[in-house]
Amino acid sequence: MSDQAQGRPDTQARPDSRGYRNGTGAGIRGVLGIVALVVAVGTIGAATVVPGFGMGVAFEPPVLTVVPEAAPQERVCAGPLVRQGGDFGADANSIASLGEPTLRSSPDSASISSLDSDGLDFAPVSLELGAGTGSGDLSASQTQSAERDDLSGFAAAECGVAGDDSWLVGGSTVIGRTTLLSLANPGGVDATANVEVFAETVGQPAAASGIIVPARTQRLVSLAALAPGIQSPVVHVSTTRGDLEATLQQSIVRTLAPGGAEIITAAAEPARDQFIPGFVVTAGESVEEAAGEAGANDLTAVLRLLAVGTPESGAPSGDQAAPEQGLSATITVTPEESGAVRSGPTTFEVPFQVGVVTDVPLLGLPDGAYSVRIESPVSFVASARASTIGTAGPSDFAWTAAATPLSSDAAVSVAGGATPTLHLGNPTTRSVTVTVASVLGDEEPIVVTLAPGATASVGIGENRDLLLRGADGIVGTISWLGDGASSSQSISPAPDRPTELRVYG
Amino acid sequence: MHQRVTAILVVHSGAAYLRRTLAALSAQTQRPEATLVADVGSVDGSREMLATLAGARLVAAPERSSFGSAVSHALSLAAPDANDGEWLWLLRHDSAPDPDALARLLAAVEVAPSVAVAGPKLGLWDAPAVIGDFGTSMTTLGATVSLVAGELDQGQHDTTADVLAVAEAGMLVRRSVWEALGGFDPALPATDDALDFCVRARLAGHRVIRVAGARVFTAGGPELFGRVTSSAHRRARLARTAQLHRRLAYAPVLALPLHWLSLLPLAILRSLGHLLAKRPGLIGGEIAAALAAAVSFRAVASSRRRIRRSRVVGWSAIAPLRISAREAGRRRAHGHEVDGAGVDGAGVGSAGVDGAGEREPAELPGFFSGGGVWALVIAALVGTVAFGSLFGAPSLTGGGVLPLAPTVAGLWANVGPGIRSSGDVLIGFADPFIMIVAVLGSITWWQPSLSIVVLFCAALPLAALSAWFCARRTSSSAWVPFVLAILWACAPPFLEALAAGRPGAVISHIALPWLMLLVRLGVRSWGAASGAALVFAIILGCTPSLAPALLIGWVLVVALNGRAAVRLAGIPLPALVLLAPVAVEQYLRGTPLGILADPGVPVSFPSPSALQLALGSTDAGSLGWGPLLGRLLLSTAAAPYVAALLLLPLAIVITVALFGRFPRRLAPPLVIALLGFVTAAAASQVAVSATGAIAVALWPGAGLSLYWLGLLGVAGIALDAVASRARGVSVLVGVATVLAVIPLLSAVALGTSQLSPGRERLLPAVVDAEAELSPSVGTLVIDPVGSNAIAVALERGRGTTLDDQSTLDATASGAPERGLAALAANLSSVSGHDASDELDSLGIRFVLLREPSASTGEVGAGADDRLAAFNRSRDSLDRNPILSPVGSTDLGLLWRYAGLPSSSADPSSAGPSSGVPVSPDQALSTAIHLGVLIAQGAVIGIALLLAFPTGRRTHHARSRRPGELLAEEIDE
Repeated sequence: MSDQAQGRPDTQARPDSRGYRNGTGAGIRGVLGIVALVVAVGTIGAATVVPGFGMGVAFEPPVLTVVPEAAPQERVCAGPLVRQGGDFGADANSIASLGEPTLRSSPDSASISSLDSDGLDFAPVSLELGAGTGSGDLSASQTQSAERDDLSGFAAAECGVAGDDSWLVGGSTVIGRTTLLSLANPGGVDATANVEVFAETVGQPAAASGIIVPARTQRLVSLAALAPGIQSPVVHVSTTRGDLEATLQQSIVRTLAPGGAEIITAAAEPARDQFIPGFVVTAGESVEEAAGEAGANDLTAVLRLLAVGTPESGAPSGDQAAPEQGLSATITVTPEESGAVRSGPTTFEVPFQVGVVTDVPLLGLPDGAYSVRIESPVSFVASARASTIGTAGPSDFAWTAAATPLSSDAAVSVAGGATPTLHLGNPTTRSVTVTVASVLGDEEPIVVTLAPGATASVGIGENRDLLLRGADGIVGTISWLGDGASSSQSISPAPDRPTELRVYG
Repeated sequence: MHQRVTAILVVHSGAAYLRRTLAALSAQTQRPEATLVADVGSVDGSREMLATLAGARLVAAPERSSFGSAVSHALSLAAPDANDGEWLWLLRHDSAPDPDALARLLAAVEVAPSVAVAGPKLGLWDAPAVIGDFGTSMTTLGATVSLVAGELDQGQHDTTADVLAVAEAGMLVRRSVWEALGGFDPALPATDDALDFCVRARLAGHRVIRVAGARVFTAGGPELFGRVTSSAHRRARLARTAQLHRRLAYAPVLALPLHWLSLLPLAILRSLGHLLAKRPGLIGGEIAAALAAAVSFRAVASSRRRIRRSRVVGWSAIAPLRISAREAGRRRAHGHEVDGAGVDGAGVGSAGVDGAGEREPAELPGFFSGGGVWALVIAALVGTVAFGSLFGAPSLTGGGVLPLAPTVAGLWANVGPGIRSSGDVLIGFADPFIMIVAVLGSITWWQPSLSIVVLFCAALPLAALSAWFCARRTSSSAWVPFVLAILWACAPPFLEALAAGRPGAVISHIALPWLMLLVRLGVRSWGAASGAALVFAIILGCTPSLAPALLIGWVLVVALNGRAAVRLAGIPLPALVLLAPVAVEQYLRGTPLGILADPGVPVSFPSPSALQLALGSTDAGSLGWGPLLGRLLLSTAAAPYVAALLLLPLAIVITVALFGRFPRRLAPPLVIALLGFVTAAAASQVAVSATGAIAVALWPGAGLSLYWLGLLGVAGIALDAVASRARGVSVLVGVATVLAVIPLLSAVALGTSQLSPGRERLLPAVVDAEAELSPSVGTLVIDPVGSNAIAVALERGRGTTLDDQSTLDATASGAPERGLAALAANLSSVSGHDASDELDSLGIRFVLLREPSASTGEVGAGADDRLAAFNRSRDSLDRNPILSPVGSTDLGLLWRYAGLPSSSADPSSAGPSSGVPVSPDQALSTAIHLGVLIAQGAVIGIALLLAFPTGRRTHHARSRRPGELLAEEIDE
């Protein structure tokens, strides 16, 4: 180590301890040199074959798996039906609530509080169920009937979970149709919302960005102010901060006669395969007859579609500079097995464009409940509308949105006001058995077995809190029917608990 | 008046001298009336020789008698003093008097009745013309001073007769005085016995003279009596023991306690002096002498009694005969001083033991004349081109480099006990590297971070310089050291360390040639050996992964260096003392390999293959050719071949050297190269720490530096062997090799280096500004590393600094601290957790979410996974009502936590550094910590004192030894 080079050239070489001069003899030198080379090559070779000469030591970065504390369950209801304009049409911009909706929620331990609103008498309420109370899933829904000259009809809606991205499929802003966008923020931080309104025409969607919804406040926005004169809007609400429960309230006045009201909650997020269970057609003949009248063509049953993705990626996108050409959706309308009318499924294709809302008329369907399945190479959102006309003449309509598949158990609250029917569909490829039970366990559970692709309906009473067990992958809807009254209420899965996190130090 | 003389000859196995002594005794012109021979247990045939002495009476003195007691013993058996006129002539077996010595002594005392003691002029046994001793005195402080020693006898000292004391050999002393004074003090068996006796004689009112005409030749001092040899250490110890005994015996009673108390402190002070003077061997004797003096109550008491009994005049009577301190200093300066004069020589005595293999250029190439300055200048030029963009920067950031603490005080605070973890909980010992950083930072005390900039900018010339000084001993040609210096400065692992920002590896690389040089010189010099020990400690502190290789090398060196191994044996000591606390802590918690972890910031790197390592590349980049060819849109597959081709000349030279004429000379560098390669290959597979979710292996660059050192050693031998053509071959090898590392040299200029000049903020400007006001403000840094995986750290103030790093923290293998992890996880999830209390108690005011990056990501985690984790954290933080978004910064998204109203007035008070009562446990660990630091400081201090060049100017007169040359050159 100390002597890198002890020697100097031969001129000064001295006899060393072994007594030889001028270094080592050629033979020995050759052997030693070869030995050195072999050692060198051998070492490198060994390190190549056995990295680190087998002395390797692995190190597991210290990590701690943390299960975050569960957040309280929270649901926000849409709030009362709202009338735009003064009693005599004097103040077109003012809005006023019309009475109070019927609220049904489970469990009882959930705390209910009102949000602030823009001067409404009855603001939407939010329900909160503290984590860890062991009371099961929180569920809530509301129903409301209105019978006024300018607004009548029955509207049922599930109280939903605020989110950062929702698609509202339905509404209209042509003359006589009023659509209000409700943005309810139940959270503790101000929410910033971006709203896009897609229309049936090609072009950029009308948009409003940076709408601030303060914490625990509801804001109502007239869709007509954003995008007037649109027959078939689809509203996309996303937040850059905070969560919102976005709903639409649509009401129709045909000439002077009220044509119904509906609260539209978020449809299933864009996908290439959507399933609408519980599309109910009633008084089909009267409706088709009335639809022929001027200004009443929105009585007809339609399926509203908006493709938001591209065939390649399927990623949602609101900005479609160059709409895809030649796209089509395959629509399969299947009568429910338990329905009165039995016929085979009807399948047809419709062309549609990305970014352009397409209303597909669903004509000639006999009365009954159907499931509508839509498949397309691009992801899209969908909802279906059906109207009914009562014996006394009043009409109402219902938007049945594509449903989000449930996780294993789902809680459903059913308020009152009309006849509710639970519709279950099985979009999966396996047979599923669902048990429909009362949350309180005071009724005999109903067991429904659904073959792949099949739908079934279960009659349920009003004012019930139900629990759907074993509903993994199943979609569900509650349809409401009365005389000249109809509505549809979605069943959404409970929000995911936050997953555990691996935390490195 | 006839004066009766009794000669007393004390013999102790002195057969080698006895013949001459006996002959001289017989040849005396004035024969002593009686001759007593005291034999102290001779075993070498002295007894038989004594039988030949006519008229002598042989007395057997007790075994192990000292000279003085042997004399007294013989005297007790002799006839009593009849007429009060009897003289005693004290002789040793090695005291050969001139034929007229006794006559002249008697003549001198006859004319002066007051004289009780007369001493001859002592000549050297082998060199009669040289005065060995001619009178003794002492300083005012009591140190023995030989008035004349080692001078050629030209009669220059013959004028003065009165002296304080004379030596015991050949001393003529009045028997009555001898008996009155009680003879020699038994507490002074070997040294100063005659001095003490003469002092007492003087105090008793007698005179002591030296007689110039009487000459006695002796072979050595009293301490040699009965011994074949006496080491310098033993002599120094005996002298000091005697001096301390005399001090206690002579001192006034009132001053005794003071003297006694001063014994140990003085011994320690003088030990430091010995260290400075490179005489560490004397320290043991120094301490032993002080301890012996401190417990010799009975001997001191009897000595004092003896003085009191016989004293008739005051101490002031002998004052004029003493030597003043100034005079003593003057004598020392002239090299007359005896004390310790032989010690240096003894220390050097074993030099040249292995001279058979030791061949050095007769004349070392000078720094200016031999090309060293050119190596320096060229390396500086290359360094300027390569790292010029760093010039003028106040600090560096990137890779393993962070700024240092803003003040020197802060820097050194991190060396002491304290918090060494982002989690605020781990209290541990600082890495030795932190001490090195602290020393570095103190050099540029006005801005500690600047020292790192200077280090990186000056790295190339520094490396060239160290390599040149090491290499110039290998060749008489100026070209070989020059080329080796350039190649060392352009060593691939060195340049990669610079580009990747690894200050530890940079320092280590610069220091390696010094270590080689100092170890080599340490064979002969304490100073160099201590220097080697310090450099060893620096290298191990900077790159602990070299520890196995260097320790194996040290064992080999010690084993092969025979007697010189004493000096080399202590080389690892400072390093071990520095590393021990951290090593013990690592061992106790079950991560013993953690001691090898590269200190500083853990930086992950792609693992290199063995072939890449053989090329000298520390990663898979083929000396940077891979990335460079990639930038030029060429095939990166060609990169290893390009690098190998350019290194071919060097490889050929090395291969040729393997078949060269002096395989024994090749062994050391080949072993170094082998150790280095094995170290590098093993290191790259040994992961002991982690950054984020990525395990970090030991950096193989340190091993490669060693490997490169060995290769250059071999190349140097080969180039030297072709001295006539060395210039051409050297230039070819040099140019080709420098070309091979061009991509590495251009890394900083091209921006492919991780280094960036200037203080890159570690935290966003908002945090920085807040930290100006409250330095302990906490920022929780969350780094998305994979699907549902985050890494979390808590930064204080303006962010972590280089001196804040701890391998104990980085190599911790247990789960991260629960509190911080849970806090981060809940903040990264929409949860029902209210984090206010924790944020307040940790003093956290900001949460920073880093953009996902591949460098910290989990193994196997894709960009999508990291982005998902990022989005999850962002959405959750956005929804947290207690956090308000500050916005997007270049370092990530930032949120501010306003804090609870009660604590918002003074955020710093919420920090853990203040207000927390110190528990007894903490106090104990702090005390232990300080104790360890003091011990470490002591060891380093001793090594520093030993290594500090204090070469005596007198050495210049002698033949200059390489060690001193070096010491002076380092000095310059």
